Amino acid sequence: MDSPLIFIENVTKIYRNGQVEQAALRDVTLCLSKGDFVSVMGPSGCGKSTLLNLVGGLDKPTRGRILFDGRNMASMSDDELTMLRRDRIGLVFQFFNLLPHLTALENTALPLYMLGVSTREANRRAREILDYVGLSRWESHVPSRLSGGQQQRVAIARGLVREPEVLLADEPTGNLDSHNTSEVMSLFERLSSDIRLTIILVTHQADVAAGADKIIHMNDGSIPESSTPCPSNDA
Amino acid sequence: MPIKRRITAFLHMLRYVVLGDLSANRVKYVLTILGIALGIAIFVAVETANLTINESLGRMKGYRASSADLFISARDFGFDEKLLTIVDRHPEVKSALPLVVVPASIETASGEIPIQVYGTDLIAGLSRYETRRMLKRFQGSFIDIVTDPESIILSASFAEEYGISTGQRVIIRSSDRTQSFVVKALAEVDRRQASGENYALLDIALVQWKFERLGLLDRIDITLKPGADPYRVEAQLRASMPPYVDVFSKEAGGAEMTGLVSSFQMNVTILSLISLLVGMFLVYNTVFISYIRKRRQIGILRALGVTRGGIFWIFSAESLFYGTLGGFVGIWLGYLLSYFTVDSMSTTVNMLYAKIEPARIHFSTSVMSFGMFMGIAASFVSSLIPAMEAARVSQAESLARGSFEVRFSFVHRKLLYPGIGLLALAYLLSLRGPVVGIPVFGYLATMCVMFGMALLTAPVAAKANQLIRGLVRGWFGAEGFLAHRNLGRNLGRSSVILCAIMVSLGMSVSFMFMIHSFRSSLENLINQVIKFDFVVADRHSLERGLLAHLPKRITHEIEGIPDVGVVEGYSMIDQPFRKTGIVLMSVGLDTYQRYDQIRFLSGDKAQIYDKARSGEILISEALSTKHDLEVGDSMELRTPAGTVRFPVAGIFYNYQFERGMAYLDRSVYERYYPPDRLTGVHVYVKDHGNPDQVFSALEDRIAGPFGAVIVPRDELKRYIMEAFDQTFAITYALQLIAIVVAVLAVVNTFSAAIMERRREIGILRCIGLFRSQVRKMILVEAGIVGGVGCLLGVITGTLLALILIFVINKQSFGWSIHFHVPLVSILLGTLAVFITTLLAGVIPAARAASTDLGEAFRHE
Repeated sequence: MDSPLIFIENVTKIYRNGQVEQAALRDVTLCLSKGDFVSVMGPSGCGKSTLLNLVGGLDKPTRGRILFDGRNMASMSDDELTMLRRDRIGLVFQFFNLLPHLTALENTALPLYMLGVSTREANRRAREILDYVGLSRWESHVPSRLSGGQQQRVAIARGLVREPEVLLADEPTGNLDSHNTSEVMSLFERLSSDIRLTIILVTHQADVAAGADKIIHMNDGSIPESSTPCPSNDA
Repeated sequence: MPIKRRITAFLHMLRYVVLGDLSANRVKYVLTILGIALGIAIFVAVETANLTINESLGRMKGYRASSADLFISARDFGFDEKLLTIVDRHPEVKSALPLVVVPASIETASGEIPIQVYGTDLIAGLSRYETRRMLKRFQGSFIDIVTDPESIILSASFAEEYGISTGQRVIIRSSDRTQSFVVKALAEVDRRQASGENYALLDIALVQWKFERLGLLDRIDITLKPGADPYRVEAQLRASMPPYVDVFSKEAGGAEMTGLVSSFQMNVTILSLISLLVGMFLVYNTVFISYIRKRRQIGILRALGVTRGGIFWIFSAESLFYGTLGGFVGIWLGYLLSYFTVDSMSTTVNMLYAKIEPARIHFSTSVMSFGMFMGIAASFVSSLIPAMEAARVSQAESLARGSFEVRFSFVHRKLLYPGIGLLALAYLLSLRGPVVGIPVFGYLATMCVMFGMALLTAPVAAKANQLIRGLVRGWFGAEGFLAHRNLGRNLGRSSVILCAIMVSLGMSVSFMFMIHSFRSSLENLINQVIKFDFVVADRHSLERGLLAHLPKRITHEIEGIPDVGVVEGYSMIDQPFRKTGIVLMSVGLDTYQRYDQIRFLSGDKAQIYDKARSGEILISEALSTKHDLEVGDSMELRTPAGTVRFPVAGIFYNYQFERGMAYLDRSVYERYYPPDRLTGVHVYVKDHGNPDQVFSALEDRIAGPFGAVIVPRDELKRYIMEAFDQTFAITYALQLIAIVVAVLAVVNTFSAAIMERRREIGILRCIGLFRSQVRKMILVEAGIVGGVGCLLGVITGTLLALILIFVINKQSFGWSIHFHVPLVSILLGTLAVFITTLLAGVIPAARAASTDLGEAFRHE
């Protein structure tokens, strides 16, 4: 097994609402290597999205640590986390989260614009990705004029445009019909096989989860130890 | 449903929709209420100042202080005391009290202070005015006061202020006459009625004797018998008086004075309403944002059976809440602000119209109630569109996001032609003349410009945003690109901020144009017409206003000073003419012609001077405009020598008196008016004379003995310009407040937009936008809005300036102002507003940058 790209070690996440505490994750440990395509499955509220948010640096664990390529994310500054998301992690959400006033091309190229890449170059690379996800004909459409599946593919294209090492997808098919679901899943499978992208896919749909190389079942904020074999890592 | 249950249901909905998020949106509510409060405050403060000034003007000449029914006066001239007999003989007159009024000064420990000396029939007058009750702290007896030729009564407040007590000897000086008196009593009068605090009372015979007024009276106060018809008596007495002597009622005396300043007051009142207008944009925006944020709640309520009317009233109730609280805070803020407005507006009235001394600020419950009403009404009106929009949308549409913005993006293109149409209408309205002296169509034209530009805001903003796309992207990268797109997407909401900035900056720019143009015109004119080296005037002429009382022999004294070339005495008097009267000035036209001291609107100068020397009159542009007088027309003036018709020989530029001014050559003037007194003297130094030596000699030989002040030409010009600047102090304050309200609108709108875009900002942060880039994006947005708002503001301001200068000013004051572009002021002012708009974006930008990503996505 390759040395882990992502090492989640004994992570607990507790949300506080006044005096009330609720544990979304309990002592979770998980290792992912480059090229892994993992589905995280579980019922609603079991902590799947929380896990993804922590790996994406959108939130911080209450206890435990998450190492990304050997570096503890908890010790990273906000700017370092932003850079990590921008350069090495792609994010895909259930509700697509495209900017409604930008076209498919602009939404896709947005991370490159942010990086200061020239408009021409950014658009060229965005077109390539849109072509890869099968949306080159729709590049000038705003999200409201695209179907759910098309919007999700634009969101995936946006997540890929910076050529990240990891793609985090939170219920990417949760809002799609079966046809679009299979289109999106075949895209994930292509990404995994073509470019050995590390993918964490959170879903509650068994047929969707089945598309991944490995399925991790979550329940009440925990992951069974058997599903998370990790090499010894004292980083 | 029974009415009680309806009300209960409505209150429940109100609590659910409006009050539910009060604590969560404190800043938004506070800013909105503050915006309305400032608008109301400035209105209340200006109206309070108007009332206070009107009251001061009304009692200026003591008419309202008197219990008399009618008055007889010849304004600045005395009239023969024999006229008292005619009055006394009238069968319906119960009593007639003669008065002599002498402007003087009194020596105090603080220096020489101006004072009015009233001479009256003390025995008769004291009983009639209840003066016995007024008199305090006697020294000696009441009879002693009446019979002792050295006794004087002083106003108690004046005596206390300057530490004068009964029994103390005081020196009173009027022109070149100095008299010594002993204070025998102090008089206390109701401050609300007093015509001024500085006065002295003497027996009439004593005043006539000691101040060279033998045989003359200045006023007769008439009390009628019960049941007498004042109108009939007024008409009968007028018929038996010489033409230059007026008979009038207390109300007419006050109304004439207040009529003088009505144009000025109306302009300031209208200006004060601009802040309220900007505040209305703020309320509109707040209610609109509230509606956008609560669309889902509206959808749920509609699904649960709430009617469209119910939704409309929920949002109207929110605006009424702002209006009520804003109005309440506003009237108290206005109460505090009125100390400034009374002071500032009184200064203007003093400079341009008449000398007033507001005794105390007149707070009126009606003004405050009206302010409260305005706050509520303005809030209600400004919430009409968002409230109707909320009521109009279908349930499904309410649950969808951005329906208004989508619809607005189609509608905004249609606003272009109505906007242009309103601007065209403004042009047509500006061609119309005044209505009863009021530039009604001019005001309507300004409203058309403002509303026309407001309609053009969205199309212009869309076009401008399109044009700067490459620019902002090139300069600000991805942040510029996103800001540009956000503005394009939120055009409806941004338009309201743009309107707030546009109106407030537009007002400021228009006043910059007007004030600068006016200032330049005035400066140009005084440089052309003030050619004398010194003016010699009464030391207290500023406090006393127009009174000619320097002795004529002062000119001979000045002529005796070495190096003095020409000495030209002049008199300025308050001349009755139609309703408002005019200022009539006697001048030496030979000297004026020699030094080219008059700028005529048109005509051959030499011919005009010749005609004027032969008995015709020269009139100011304001007089010509207000009374529709042209060259060749005649002016009928009531003079001490009878009614005389003066043909108009020429019309000259003059900005000194709004009511109008006229020049008569001294030789002509002296045919009809008493020649013995002068208002001042213009002194011209010989060609190679030494002005410094002349000034020293004037100080030594003239200033002290005649109680005069010597003002060199440059100092006079400086004084005029300073006075001019002071008169516009209030407009700067009003502009500043309007801009503050606009900034509140910007902060409020951006803050609300950030709240609403929290998730979107979260997405951007997720895909790699740094906090600093989020801040930059919001600031670029603020910058684009500020920039487009400033552009629209400058265009609006220029259009408003054209109407102000060429229509409203011309019709209100009758003055021609030459259009000057205050480029530096406009650039600096616009830059200041632009930077303020940027700063207004700083707090929302900081809030946006601190968006908690975990929180933003937790619900997924």
